[in-house]
Amino acid sequence: MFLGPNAPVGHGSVLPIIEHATKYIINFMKKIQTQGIKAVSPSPAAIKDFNIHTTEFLKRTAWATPCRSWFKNGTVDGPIVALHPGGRIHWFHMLQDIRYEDWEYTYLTNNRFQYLGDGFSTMELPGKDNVWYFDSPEDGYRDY
Amino acid sequence: MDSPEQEEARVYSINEMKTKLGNDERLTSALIPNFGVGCRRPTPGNGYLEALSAKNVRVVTDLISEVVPEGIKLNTGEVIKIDAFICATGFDISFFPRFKMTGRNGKVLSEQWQEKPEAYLSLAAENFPNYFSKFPNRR
Repeated sequence: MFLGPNAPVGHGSVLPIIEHATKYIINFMKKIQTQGIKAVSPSPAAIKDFNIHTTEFLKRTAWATPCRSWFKNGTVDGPIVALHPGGRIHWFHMLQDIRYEDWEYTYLTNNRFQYLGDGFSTMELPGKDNVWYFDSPEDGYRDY
Repeated sequence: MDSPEQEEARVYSINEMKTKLGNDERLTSALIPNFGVGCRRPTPGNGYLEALSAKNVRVVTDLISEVVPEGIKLNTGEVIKIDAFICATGFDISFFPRFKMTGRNGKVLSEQWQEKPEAYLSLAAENFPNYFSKFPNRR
């Protein structure tokens, strides 16, 4: 879902926002496609926690002051359903590392490791560089 | 609402609006809002306010009493002849699609989000696995 409830749509151009949501979804799809996953669903507990945080945070913002606005779905004092609790850089940063623990998984088979298959890696396929780790021993550390 | 930052933003915005509207009393009183800066989405809208005070533009704030074959009839009795009539009636931010979508546990998104739409990081909804759909909130 792009620009669903509580996305940073009050925060400048929406195009970079859509691009970051796309990145999140594409990166997640890579995992789904390669790790034998049939379905992913956000956990109710994570949604609850996030929405408690969102509601509390938004109370002290200019968006919560009295005016009728589409951020509150046309009401003066209704819940702010449209906005992210923070800036849009904050939102980009939040999406950068997917919190896989917030998702519930259904696998294609009854063993989540079925995709490990015959013990050979796709990195060993013909034409692939299978000694990359000698050339780049520093690879693999995330730059935090 | 009472913060010094809000006051500063308000003074700045009012000054900018007055300048760009050419200090036209009728326009400034009709357009400068009485709510806090940021409560509604501020738009850069380059040229918009200047256009409202341009010589070839007429801003009408009278109420519309009816739409007649020749154009728009105001409550002053005046009929404004028009070529096109565009209504801007606002947004519906209910976030579910127009079509019925049923997820796990027989849940329908429009019913699940009837009271308040609650999503995961704006991206996904409970009971709707693999649902990464596009612009459900624009209708």
